[in-house]
Amino acid sequence: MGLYIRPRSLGIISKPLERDDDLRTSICCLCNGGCGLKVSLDHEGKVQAVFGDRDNPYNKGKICAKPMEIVQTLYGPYRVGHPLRRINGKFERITWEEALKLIAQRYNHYSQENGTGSIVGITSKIGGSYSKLAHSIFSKLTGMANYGTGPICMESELKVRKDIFGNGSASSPLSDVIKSKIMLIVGNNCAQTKAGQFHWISEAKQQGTKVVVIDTRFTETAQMADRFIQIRPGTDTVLGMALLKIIINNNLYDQAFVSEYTNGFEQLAEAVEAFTLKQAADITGVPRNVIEELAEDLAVRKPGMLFEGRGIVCVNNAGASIRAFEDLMAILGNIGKPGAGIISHINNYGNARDLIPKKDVIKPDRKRSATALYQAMEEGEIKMVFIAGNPCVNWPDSRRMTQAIQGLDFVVSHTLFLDDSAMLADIVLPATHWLEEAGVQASVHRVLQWKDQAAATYAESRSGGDLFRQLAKYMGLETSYFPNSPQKAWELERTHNKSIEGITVERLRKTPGGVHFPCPANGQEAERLYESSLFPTPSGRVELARKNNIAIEYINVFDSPGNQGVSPEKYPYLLSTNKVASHYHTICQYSNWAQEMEKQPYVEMHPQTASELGLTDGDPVRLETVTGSLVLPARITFSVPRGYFTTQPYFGLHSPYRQTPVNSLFPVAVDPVGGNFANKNIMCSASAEGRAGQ
Amino acid sequence: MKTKVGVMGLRYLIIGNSAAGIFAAETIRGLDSIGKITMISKEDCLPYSRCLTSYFIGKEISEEGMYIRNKDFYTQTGIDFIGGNVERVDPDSRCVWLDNGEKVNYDKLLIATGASPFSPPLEGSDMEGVFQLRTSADAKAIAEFAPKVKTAVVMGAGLVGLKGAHGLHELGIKVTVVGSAPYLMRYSTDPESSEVLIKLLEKDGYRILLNTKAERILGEKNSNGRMSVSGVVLNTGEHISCQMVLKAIGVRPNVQLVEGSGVFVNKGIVVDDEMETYVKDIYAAGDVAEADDFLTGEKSVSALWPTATEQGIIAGCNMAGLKRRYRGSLALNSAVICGVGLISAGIMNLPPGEGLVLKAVEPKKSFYRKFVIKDGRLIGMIMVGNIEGAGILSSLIRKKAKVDINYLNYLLTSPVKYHGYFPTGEGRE
Amino acid sequence: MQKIYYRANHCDGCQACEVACIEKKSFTKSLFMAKLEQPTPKARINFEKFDNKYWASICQHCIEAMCVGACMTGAMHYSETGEVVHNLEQCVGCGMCIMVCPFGAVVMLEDAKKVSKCDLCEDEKIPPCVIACTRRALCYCTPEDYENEGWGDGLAISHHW
Ligand SMILES: Cc1cc2nc3c(=O)[nH]c(=O)nc-3n(C[C@H](O)[C@H](O)[C@H](O)COP(=O)(O)OP(=O)(O)OC[C@H]3O[C@@H](n4cnc5c(N)ncnc54)[C@H](O)[C@@H]3O)c2cc1C
Ligand code: SF4
Ligand code: SF4
Ligand code: SF4
Repeated sequence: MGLYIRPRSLGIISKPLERDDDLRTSICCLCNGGCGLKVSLDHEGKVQAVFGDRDNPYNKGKICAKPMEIVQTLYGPYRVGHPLRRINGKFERITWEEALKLIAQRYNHYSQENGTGSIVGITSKIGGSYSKLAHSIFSKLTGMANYGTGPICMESELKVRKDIFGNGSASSPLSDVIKSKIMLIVGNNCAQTKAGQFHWISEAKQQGTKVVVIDTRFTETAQMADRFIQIRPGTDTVLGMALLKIIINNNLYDQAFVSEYTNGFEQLAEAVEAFTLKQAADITGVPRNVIEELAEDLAVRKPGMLFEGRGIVCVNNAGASIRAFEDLMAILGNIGKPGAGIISHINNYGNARDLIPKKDVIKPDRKRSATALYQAMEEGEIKMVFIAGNPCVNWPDSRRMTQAIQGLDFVVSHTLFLDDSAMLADIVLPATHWLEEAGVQASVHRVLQWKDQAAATYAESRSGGDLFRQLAKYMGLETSYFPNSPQKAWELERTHNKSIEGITVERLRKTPGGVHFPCPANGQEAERLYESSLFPTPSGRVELARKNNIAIEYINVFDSPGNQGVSPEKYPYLLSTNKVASHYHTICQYSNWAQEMEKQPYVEMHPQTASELGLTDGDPVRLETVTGSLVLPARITFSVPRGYFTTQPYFGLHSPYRQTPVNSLFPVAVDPVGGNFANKNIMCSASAEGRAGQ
Repeated sequence: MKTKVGVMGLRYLIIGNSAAGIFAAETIRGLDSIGKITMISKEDCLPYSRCLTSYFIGKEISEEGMYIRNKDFYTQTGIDFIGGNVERVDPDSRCVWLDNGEKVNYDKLLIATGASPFSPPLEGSDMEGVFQLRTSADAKAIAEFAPKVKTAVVMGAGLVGLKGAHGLHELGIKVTVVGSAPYLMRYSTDPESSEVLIKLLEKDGYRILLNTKAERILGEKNSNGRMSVSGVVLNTGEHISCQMVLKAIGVRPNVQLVEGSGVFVNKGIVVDDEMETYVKDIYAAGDVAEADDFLTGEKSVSALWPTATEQGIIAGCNMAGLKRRYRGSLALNSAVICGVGLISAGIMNLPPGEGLVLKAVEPKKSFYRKFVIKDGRLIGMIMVGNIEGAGILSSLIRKKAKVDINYLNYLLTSPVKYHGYFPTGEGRE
Repeated sequence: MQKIYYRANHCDGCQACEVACIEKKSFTKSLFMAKLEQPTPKARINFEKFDNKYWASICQHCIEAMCVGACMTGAMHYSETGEVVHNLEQCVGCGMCIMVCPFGAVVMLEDAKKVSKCDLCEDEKIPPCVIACTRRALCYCTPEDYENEGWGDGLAISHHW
């Protein structure tokens, strides 16, 4: 029956080829895991294989399938090698100069005619530290508003954590898990999505850390856990509240910490009374005794850590769940100590300040939320977009996004591949791959690691760093603000950012595994945040309650944004997307290996759901939501609950998979507290799709 | 599905509306949709289960909970029910006489009058506070009296005694069980399992006295001038003070009504393997009947619910013209004592030296299993503790097939589950 | 009437049927939570490996059910359509049915002090255990279908009394 695991993709140790003439070190820039890589090059300087770097103290040679797959995507048929211009619906090769001149001219034109707000960047994949800095300088100089990864990935997590602790980043390195007594993994399939670093958790488990996984699906991570708690979709808040309730009512929290370093405890204590334990058990589908046991475990096993994943972040009631679990960590005093705290792939080291004199900074003349972006494009308010990413696949209501982009006057795509979004562009610019760009990469261990350029730049591709500097020149902007190499960029950045001031390129190069941050000028690195119990919130304390004094408010998933007013009779099921180990957003689709491992997208469903619909394994099933419908083959498995569908979010029409993006089924709806788009728990209907002859 | 074999439309008369009677009536109705079925019982109420009377006393179930069929049972099944006492059976004129002088004719008669508590003469038995437990009326009387009771003595350590004791215990009454046999429920246990049960009962606060008899019931005048129970004197000389005595010593078949009718009575009404008595067209089933014993082949009375229903079904079939033979009664019993299940089947105690006995005991877990084997066949078993799968063993006894001793040894300690066949030790069946 | 037939020659001992039944009968309706529930839900289908052979025994909804005859409360009874139905409310957990069921199909729910057995999951189109069995060792069909498909040995439809 069905599948529980995809064992092929669990943290593979790879051995470099023997007698490799040119083996370079790099850092994987895919999932923010920050795995050390060894890259083997052929005589032309092309990448021929990627391995785990056994000298890197963090991944210790382990990597997942994703970086290995890169080899096949770098030089494949979908890679863009030259600037292209669409003329009469066809792409024609042009030179960089022509391209930049054209973009500069249009940019200035729209900016003058329609205001700075008529140009936006949808820039979720901008490149390494060099490109990011150049991009931010460019945006500051032009007043370009950007929509990055935030709304489609971690906005809610960032915002809520910032509200609570004053900083949205992870508070602790993943490597701390070894020191923790309990590791709570919520809505996070890190065995797949951080596969290269997952061995830390396995090792910790072997040393006695109790690993508790809370998830709707029986994931690969759940499989290795000491305790797997299957929770009904979208009810994590209630579980979190129940745990808080037990801990508060039984005085199991860290009273000294709470009284000295937190605000809003009363409001929190009041809010968690909203449900009795019995109600919580009924709502979450987690037996009461299991909740009680977990609460007790959390109280007794200290220090403890929390690792949340997209499962509670990218949902339409995310804000409350994240707050519940992070407040839980806070009142247990699990913060700012070795083996305690919150792990996340958000590792912001802060922005460079005062790079540009005030007089040259232009603010966008309009501010729009991510949801308002659609309408602004549709109504012609926006004339031009600069795309670095693949919004036509990754943003919700993808069909609408595609149409909106199609309707714009001018679209630029800086991209590796001719993906769904690039296909709509007027100008396509070839981007360098991260193996072709030097820079600093953050990791789940809260370290910054330096990577040199490992491979020769492909064809005419250019990094964002070069692109923005050159574009600025064509636009007549002040170019002296732009650094002209990754090293210089970093030196510039660190001298304008106190939290990384002590991290020189030289130091990074000398330190395997990199340097922890913050690391101010004195060179003293901080392995984890808040060790001094100073919290960068306005009050200097942990804010357990929201500003409106309602600490946590549970919204039933069926009444959450995107599902509000949707008929449960017509759309009785829930649809989610979930990640697999061998894919990463758009990029891995172009690899044969990834294609071998994930032949095609499929929709996982419980056998009983399949039976209701009259489906057997592999049968086509039509999923429909308020925004669209899609046919996918059924995969029947016990690992998902009944009445729940999940599929993989990556695929586009212009990839070897030739799939309508599944995000077209997700309405443009954000979590009201955190502001994340929801790509889980959207109400849907399903039916068997008739086959020919039936 | 079911094909009619005999003549339809006969007049069937069933005396007794309990286990045997009800199942017989339902069987007849299934085979003969137009026949006239009349049922007479001196208990003028819906069919109920007397096994549940003790649960009623202990307030574990309501009065309705004792009923085994819903209130439309008679109309739905098309049964004419008469509440009355049958005094005499007259086979010559094919009728029975009720004590009110009424006469009811029949073509086929089933006597399913069950049994009544047997009570040997005992001084003080007529006092207030002395009860027996057989009918729902008895149960109601006990329930009504119980609030006045703090301590009670149950005479008889058989199934009915223990169940009655349990009911009283549930009400918070301190109960002493006095049994003359050397162990509890002697027809469905052995000394070891009895030991396990005694431990459980004593832990729960019962007092169990075995090899003991009550000699006399003591009384005192109560407020309304009647003599009421105040204690019991045992043959050991001990004097137990109590406010209630429950006599549960045994039962005797209700055979008075066939006296002089030619129906042959030994201990009970003797029937052949079609449940027919020695008089044509008169059948008997249930506690009143003396039928073949499954294992010994000898005639015996088995006073058990499943036996009564099975005999009722067989009698019903034969009365309606579908010939079916009774395979014989197998002693089977199930009880849950202090939350621990006990199931026994067949012959539990063999004379020393005969046959082979396998045992497994785990006193801490109140687990006990015993298999009695003779000539390579399982003939009896006791399971205490985990009783799931007991039916597999009882049906194995019924199969009378040779079984591999190693297999039984394996079953002794593992969960008993069905797996399609029973290893015989002589190659596959 | 449809019931569940087991074909040992198709079974590969995966026990998915048991698992599916436990999930269905659990409070949380979660396979993974079921084993943590108190009381632990019990499968109504009993899987057994013995002598390197597999067998899953399940209530056969016997034509003349021993359990119905033995049940002293009337909790076990036949439905209009012929299934053997157990009424949980009436049941007192006396174990008489366990004592006689030749297939060991009745399970004791210790905490509830009642028993239970396969009810064919009438609220489902196809019983979960049958769906879970990818080897088609469990067939949910009428006795006639079972025999007509050539799966049985003729016993399923011979109404021998
Ligand atoms: C307290 C108690 C607990 C028991 N527990 C168990 C147990 O756990 N397991 C088990 O197997 N067995 C148990 N038994 C025994 C079981 O109840 C009997 O075996 C079963 O009831 C026999 O059924 P029957 O139909 O043969 O007779 P009965 O149940 O005795 O019914 C006889 C019927 O005939 C009627 N009747 C009798 N004489 C006349 C007449 N002259 N005219 C008209 N009607 C008449 C009566 O009113 C009655 O309705 C228990 C019995 C008691 C009292
Ligand atoms: S429980 Fe047992 S005896 Fe009753 S119908 Fe099912 S298989 Fe037959
Ligand atoms: S346990 Fe329940 S179903 Fe079984 S015989 Fe007793 S009352 Fe009937
Ligand atoms: S039909 Fe339902 S109750 Fe019966 S075995 Fe299958 S899953 Fe269990």
